[in-house]
Amino acid sequence: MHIKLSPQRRDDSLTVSKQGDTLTINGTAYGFTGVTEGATLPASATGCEYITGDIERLSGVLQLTLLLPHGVNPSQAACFPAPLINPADGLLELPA
Amino acid sequence: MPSIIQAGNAASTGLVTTGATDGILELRSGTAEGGTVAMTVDAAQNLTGATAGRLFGRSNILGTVSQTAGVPTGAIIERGSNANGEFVRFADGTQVCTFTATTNASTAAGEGLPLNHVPSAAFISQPAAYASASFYAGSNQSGVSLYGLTYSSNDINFSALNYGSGPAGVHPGFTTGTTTALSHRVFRIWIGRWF
Repeated sequence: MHIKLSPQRRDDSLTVSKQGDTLTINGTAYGFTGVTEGATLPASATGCEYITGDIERLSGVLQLTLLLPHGVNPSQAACFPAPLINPADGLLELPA
Repeated sequence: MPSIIQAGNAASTGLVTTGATDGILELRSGTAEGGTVAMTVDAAQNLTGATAGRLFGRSNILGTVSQTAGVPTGAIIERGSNANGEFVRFADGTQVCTFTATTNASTAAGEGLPLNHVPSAAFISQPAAYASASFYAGSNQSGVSLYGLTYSSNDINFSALNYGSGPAGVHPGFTTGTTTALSHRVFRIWIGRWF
C-alpha cells in the first residue's frame, strides 16, 4: 500500500491503523479489497472525509491519499509529509 | 478593591501594582505584590503576558486564532503554509488559501484534465467564493482553458479543458488548436470560512 499524505491545517486529528487492505480511520474501518488492478474508486465513494483523490491499484499496490491534519506550529515533517510506502500492519506512524 | 499602588507598598490589597523595575507596569493576581504577574507593560509600551483575547499588542495579534461559539479566544491573524500551499485565518472566521502549481499531464486539444486539490487549511463548508486568478494550459502556458469548479469533502475539483496552445497573446480567444499541451499551471485561491 502506498499512502500519500496531504497536509491541512485542521482542529481535529487522525489515527489510522492498517490491516492488509483495510484501513481503520478514526475508528471506522474501510476495506479496499474490492479495488482491483487498474480499478479506480473516487474518494467520495468511501464517505470518509480524510480520504482524498482517487483510490487505485497499480501493479498490485493500492494507492491512496489521506488528509493529514496539523495544528499550529507543525513540524516540517507534517507540513511536507513523505508518503508511506508499504507500511507494516498496525498503527501508522503519522508525522505531527 | 483593585487599585494602582506604588512599589514597596506591600500593605495594599490591590490587583494592580507597579513592578520592581521603574517604568514597568505589572498586573498581578492575588492580594499584594507577591501575586503572580499576569501582564506587564514597559516604558516602551511593550505588552507581554497578556492572555490572547483580552488585551492585544504587537506581541499577540499574530498567533493561533480560535473561537468558542463565534467569540474569538485567540489571536487576530494566523498564517501558515504546508505542502498544499499557504493560508491565512482571521479571528472573524475568514480564511484564504492560495496555491500555485504546474501539473504535468498530456492532454490532447479538446480533452479535459481533472485537477483536484486539497486546500492548505480546512474550511467549515464550501468556500463562499473561489477565484482562479489565472489558469493556463499548454507547454508554454499560453494556451487557453475553460474550467469548472466543484467542492466535495475538502477537495476542490477542477476540470481543465485543453483548447490547444494558441499563439501567444491570443487571449481570451478560445481557439481550438491541434497542439498537445503538456502542462497546466493553476493559480488557486479559496476564500471562505474556517468556522
